[in-house]
Amino acid sequence: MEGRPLDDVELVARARRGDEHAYEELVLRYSDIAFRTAYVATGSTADAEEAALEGFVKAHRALSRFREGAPFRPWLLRIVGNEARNQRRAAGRREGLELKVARADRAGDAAPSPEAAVLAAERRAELLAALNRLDPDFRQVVACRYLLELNVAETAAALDLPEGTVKSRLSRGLDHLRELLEAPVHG
Amino acid sequence: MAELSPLERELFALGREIEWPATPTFKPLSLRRPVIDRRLVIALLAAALAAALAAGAVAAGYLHIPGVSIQRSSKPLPARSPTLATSPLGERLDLGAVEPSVTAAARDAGFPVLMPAALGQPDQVFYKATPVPLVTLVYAPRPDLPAGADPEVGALFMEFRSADTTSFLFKTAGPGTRIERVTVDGTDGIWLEGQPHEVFVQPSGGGSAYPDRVRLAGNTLLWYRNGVTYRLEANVSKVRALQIAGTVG
Repeated sequence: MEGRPLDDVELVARARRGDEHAYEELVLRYSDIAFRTAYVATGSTADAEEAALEGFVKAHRALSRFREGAPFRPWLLRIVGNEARNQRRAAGRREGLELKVARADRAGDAAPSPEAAVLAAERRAELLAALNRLDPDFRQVVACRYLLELNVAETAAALDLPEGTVKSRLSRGLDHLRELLEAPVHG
Repeated sequence: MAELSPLERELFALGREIEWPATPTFKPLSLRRPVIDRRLVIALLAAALAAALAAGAVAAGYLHIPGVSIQRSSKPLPARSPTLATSPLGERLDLGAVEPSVTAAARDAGFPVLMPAALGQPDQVFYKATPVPLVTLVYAPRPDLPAGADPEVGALFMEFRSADTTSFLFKTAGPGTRIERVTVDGTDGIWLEGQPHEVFVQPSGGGSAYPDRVRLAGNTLLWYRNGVTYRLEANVSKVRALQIAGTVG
């Protein structure tokens, strides 16, 4: 294979011609974002795994209907998002996303002073707690846009919402987050 | 592009520190799987597994250790009716005949029967000859082994010969079951947790796999060593199950 990784357009074109290695490359490339998007939508690892897998299967079957030259990622995330909602409905659950941070410091970061580290850890914990308390409709758009770094169009596709609704929920979600961060925590 | 607010910048930074669950590996074979016709899946699995074993390869697209294959179902499995202790345990769970001791079971089975030291002596021992020589150690419920689906069982420890047989257990796991590859005392294993998974038995000498309804199973750890597949089923966490498995000898 060429030294330079193929771009999505080329991989999709090859996959449409039946090149399974090309589709495998797309699966590899988008496994993380597909799985995490499904996790944000379902709050369940098992549901997310199933949704991402079904999403990849259905996208593969639907490649012939994919508009040539269009961006692959939002198209895939729309399919995965639909599967995630189906999984959640089938399991009779509401989204129960509970986010956690991985660790207090990251390798490669300049070592902060102990006071700064404590402050940063406290602020991070507060932000996470506020995010976990946010209404699920707002939490999902905020998580997709900021934590997964999807753009507005991709967030809209993944959550099956109009872009205008994504923007308004982002704005209101950030307002609610600020209120939660300023409000004293009870219990 | 509008400038980011401090809160937005904090959220982007937070996103890079979120502990996301590990992304599974999505295999090409899985991509081509049928939506789910269970009989077809079983037939395909049996054929694929035989071919994979013949080639000395580990089958892809579903999880496998010798003797056991696990297939994902896209739909939830039917709920299991609660077990009623109205018939003897061995009959109720299709474990075979009661053995007077582990030594006697090992003699019948033709392979050394190991015990998890962490669980102590089993309360009952069973042996079943078909479809594969299978020994089951039953531990009654107690504070560190709460009863699961059956009120008389705290833990089941099963051992069956799997190196030179064409008989296999197949498990179908619904979307509510977490399936994870683990390392059990240095060897590959599989951990199933959450919603019960369904077990199918492939009879020796071919024929259709049949659903093993009595062992619609709870949390289960599976591993393989020296020609024997081990299966620990108990209402315990993965960490505890791995601890117990580490004491098998």
